[in-house]
Amino acid sequence: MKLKVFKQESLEQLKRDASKQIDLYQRTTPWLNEYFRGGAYYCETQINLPDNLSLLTEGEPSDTDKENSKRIYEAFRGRINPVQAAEERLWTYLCHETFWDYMIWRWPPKKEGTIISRYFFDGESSRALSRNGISRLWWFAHLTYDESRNDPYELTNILLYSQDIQHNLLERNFGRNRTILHTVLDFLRVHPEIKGKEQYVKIVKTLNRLGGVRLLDALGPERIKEYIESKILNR
Amino acid sequence: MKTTERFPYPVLSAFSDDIENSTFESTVIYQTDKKDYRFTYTITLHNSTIIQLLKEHRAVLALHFECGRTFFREKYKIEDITWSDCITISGTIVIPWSRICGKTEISAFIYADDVIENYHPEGLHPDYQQTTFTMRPGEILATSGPVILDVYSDYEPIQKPDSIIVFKLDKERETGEIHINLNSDKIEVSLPKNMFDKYEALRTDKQKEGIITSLLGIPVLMEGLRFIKETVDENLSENRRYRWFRSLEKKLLEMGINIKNEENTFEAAQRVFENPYMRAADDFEKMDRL
Amino acid sequence: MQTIQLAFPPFEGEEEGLNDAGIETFEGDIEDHVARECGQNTCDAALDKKEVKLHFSLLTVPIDQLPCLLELKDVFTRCITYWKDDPKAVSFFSKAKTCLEQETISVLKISDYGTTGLTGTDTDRTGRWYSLVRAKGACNKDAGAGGSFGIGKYAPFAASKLRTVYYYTRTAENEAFQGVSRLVTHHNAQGQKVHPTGYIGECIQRNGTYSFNSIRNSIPEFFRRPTGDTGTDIYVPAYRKSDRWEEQLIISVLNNFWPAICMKKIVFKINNTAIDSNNIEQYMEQYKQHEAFTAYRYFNAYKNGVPFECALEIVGNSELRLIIDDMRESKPIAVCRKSGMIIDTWGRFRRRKPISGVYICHDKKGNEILRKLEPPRHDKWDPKRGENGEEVIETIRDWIRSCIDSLLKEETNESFQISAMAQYLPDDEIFGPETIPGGLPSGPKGTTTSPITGLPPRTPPIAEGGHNTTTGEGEGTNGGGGVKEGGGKGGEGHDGRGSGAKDGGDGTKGVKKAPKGNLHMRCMYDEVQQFYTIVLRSDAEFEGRISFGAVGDDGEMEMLQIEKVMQDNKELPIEGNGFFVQLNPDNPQHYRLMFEEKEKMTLRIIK
Repeated sequence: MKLKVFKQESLEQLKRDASKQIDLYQRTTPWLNEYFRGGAYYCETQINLPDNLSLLTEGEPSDTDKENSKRIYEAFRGRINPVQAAEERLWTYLCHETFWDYMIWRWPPKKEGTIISRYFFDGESSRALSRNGISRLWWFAHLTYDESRNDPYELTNILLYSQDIQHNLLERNFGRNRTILHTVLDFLRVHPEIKGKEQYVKIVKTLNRLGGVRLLDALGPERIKEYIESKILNR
Repeated sequence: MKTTERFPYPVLSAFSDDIENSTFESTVIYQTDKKDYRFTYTITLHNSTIIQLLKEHRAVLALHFECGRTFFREKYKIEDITWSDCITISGTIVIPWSRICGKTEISAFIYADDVIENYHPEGLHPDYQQTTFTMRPGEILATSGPVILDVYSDYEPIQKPDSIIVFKLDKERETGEIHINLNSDKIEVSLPKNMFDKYEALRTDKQKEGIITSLLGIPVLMEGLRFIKETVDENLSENRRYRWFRSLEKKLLEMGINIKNEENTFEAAQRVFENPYMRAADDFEKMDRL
Repeated sequence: MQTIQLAFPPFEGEEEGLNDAGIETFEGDIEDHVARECGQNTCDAALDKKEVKLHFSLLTVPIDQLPCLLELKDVFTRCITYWKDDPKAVSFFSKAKTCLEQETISVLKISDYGTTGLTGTDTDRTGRWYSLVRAKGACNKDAGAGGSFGIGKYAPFAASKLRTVYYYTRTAENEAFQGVSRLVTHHNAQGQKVHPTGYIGECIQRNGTYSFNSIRNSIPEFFRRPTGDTGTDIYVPAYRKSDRWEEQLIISVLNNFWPAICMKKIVFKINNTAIDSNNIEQYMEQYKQHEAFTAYRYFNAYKNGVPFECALEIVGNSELRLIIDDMRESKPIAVCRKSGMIIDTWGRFRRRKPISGVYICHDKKGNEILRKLEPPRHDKWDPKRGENGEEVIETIRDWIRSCIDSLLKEETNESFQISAMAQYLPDDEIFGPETIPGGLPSGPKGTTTSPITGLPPRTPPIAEGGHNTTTGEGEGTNGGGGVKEGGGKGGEGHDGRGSGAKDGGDGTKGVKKAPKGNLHMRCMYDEVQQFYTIVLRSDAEFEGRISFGAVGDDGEMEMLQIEKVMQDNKELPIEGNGFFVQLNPDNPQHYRLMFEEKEKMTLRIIK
């Protein structure tokens, strides 16, 4: 199937009206055609997606993130670049149409806040990307994919071990730096005993504080690793 | 990294007077071309201690880019510096437009690459008295910025593929023949109003694509091919400024067609469109069956 | 008491082989034909214009429940002998025999409910029973029902590996049962040449003539429906089901009958899947990517399109719904009558944009006229079949054209591309420079060669001496120029609090402007003794309590807890998180601070 994206003005209209349309979000099937009655609200791109692309919709919702993240990333692999992947028109269309059944299962649209943050982009920053129901799946895998590992998704699985890891790492600026992100995730991989929200917060706080004094990007993985070990493992 | 705060050590910057009689300034502008953003920077540094540390590779000069929209955060080291008492460095950093978009923060830094003991730079404010500092790796000696640029490529990031041939409405003419313009990024085919409307309608029918490609595409492409064929070597670089020209050259190369050796452009044009006359005949047959 | 037996009438006319029975036509898309024909029959037989139901279900039935089925085994053997030189026939009947060697057999049961049932007797040539069960290639002209069966009745035979079908019907008056086997010319057990079509029912032989009657009073209980439950059951034994027969039936039902379902004329049930007006949309969405599924675009136009209505000449009250979409395949308009079965899809409409639509004729007389233009398979309106056929069709087409024009009137373009050309000659150096109408991010255009004016940082740096900031001289965001950003400080002792500051030109970034003065801090950390030395200045008299925060990589601040604060070797009292300071201009104060957090941090003063 060809990937489709919203037209900008259609997206804006939909987003503007979202708060008035809570009842539409209670439906079990997509409703865009009905909503944009008679109008051409999307554009077809030349990006081909596998026809059989589907997402898990059974089990504990957050447990499906790992598998679904891989599915989305694989489906889009080599087909979109990060700037395209930051396009609200793309992910919002997928949320409202292609993966509607997944979305209403994973992020039940009961409140306006959930609709805006999970079905649209709330704001322009990278935080919006890690919140939107579908784009987050792509970005989680994209940011952590590491071809040099036996399982390239090894770090994706660490990132998705807990929502606290995602929030703490990806909603901080230094999470944008691949070296830092991978170093922290690898540390968590080597030290499975370090877990729980408090520990994650501590790691992130430590690094953030360090980043106030030093340019983290200048440090390289070894120095970052040593620093985390010294602070967290009290070595 | 925000750099408008009070570091626990002296920093040469616009927002502090920690180090006096010195300069660390930067200018960044950007341009876009077809694939990349080209950030052109000019950095001026005037402080002998810091220049010496850079010279000895104990400190590093870098530009730091952070794009909040695409999870982009990278530093680019700047080397190849010509040394003097007051150095001015210019250069360009190229970032593909597929990586950043929108608000992008750019800062210039000079940071310690290794531990620097007994740091007491020239021009240190009297408040510091005789204090010397131990600078740790990554600690900042000088900073400038951030500049925040709103970067946008000229191009729609997601859309249908485009052809190097575009059909345009010639607003000046109601009737008449079709005109062609090769002196442009695309091969522009101008249709007078009445014809434009008809062909615009016709092309929406997938079943007529073969016919339209043969009818309009072949002669237009032949003109393009002839243009390439007749371009003498000394004009080549000039003509390559047209995107269609480069694109078509590339296509011919891929297909193993050397247009200069071709007797005529008609056959090459058919090969480029992969035998459209056959598809057109099929289209006609299908229409008859309707 | 009637006796049920299998009998073939004596041979007459021409010999018929396997390919002659008219069944061939339906091989291939068996499910599609079965659904289309049975759906059509059911819609036509609606009782009191109520919503009718058509159920397809797959049963497993003990072979002996089906009358005379086992007798077919011998018949098949004799067919093989008779047609021994026709490999296709030999293969077919051999396979048919194998089907009868099991104890059970799979049977497709096609049942309609809420219909009149098949009215009429075995000999009433105008009755529905006769048309469906008895006549070959007949055409029922019962105008009220609006349907003509014709060749359609063969579809179920094509679906049976035994080419045998049982019919049961209950009408308001009575019930009837009959089996029919459409085979080939062959010899009967007595060696006489017989007709290819045999009947499972009552056979009465009198004076060398045979009469074949349906069973009316001793129908096996297995088949019977209670009184009042009118309708017809067709049983297809040894159903030639494909692996995905259910899906194929569903797709066929959706493709052909979606208007009937939407208009609440019929409800389908395929095994356990019920499709009605309430859930059809869900199924449409589910199958919309399926290759064989073509109806979505028309359904979409019906549900979401712009409606047009008109009382046309000849065919009368008509409706058209149109939508602009991205469907470039030809034949954008589906056409149907009020029965709600899709008759055909029409192409050859000039249009500047891709559209889809559906045309429905609602007028009673118009429906009659159009029905007469339909061939037995009801899959087109053939202008040659009616007197003024061409005029009828042209009137409809003209109207559709005018509706399309009026819908697209507003949409004008100044250039277009031909997508086949993009395929062979893509403009591939870039992702594509032209924009989709109405949709692109709001980036500045025309910036390819001119530098961009950098925007000032959200939190402008403190030192904004007018001399070191130059802004671009362009207009708006398109202009040229650049931003010069930096900390140039000549030898003037400029301390970064330049008079040219436009906003936020405080001495200390992050400190709220206080009426009493702006604080300026310098800060040193002693790694060995883990304390901070700070030098505070104010540009006006300042009195107040200050505390501190640590600023992180992302510019966010966390509060710090002061452990100890000293001034001139005197410890100062800590109040809450901070301590009291009193500052005069040009009189810097030195403090030594120790925080609970023993780390080198970047500090911010909080007043």
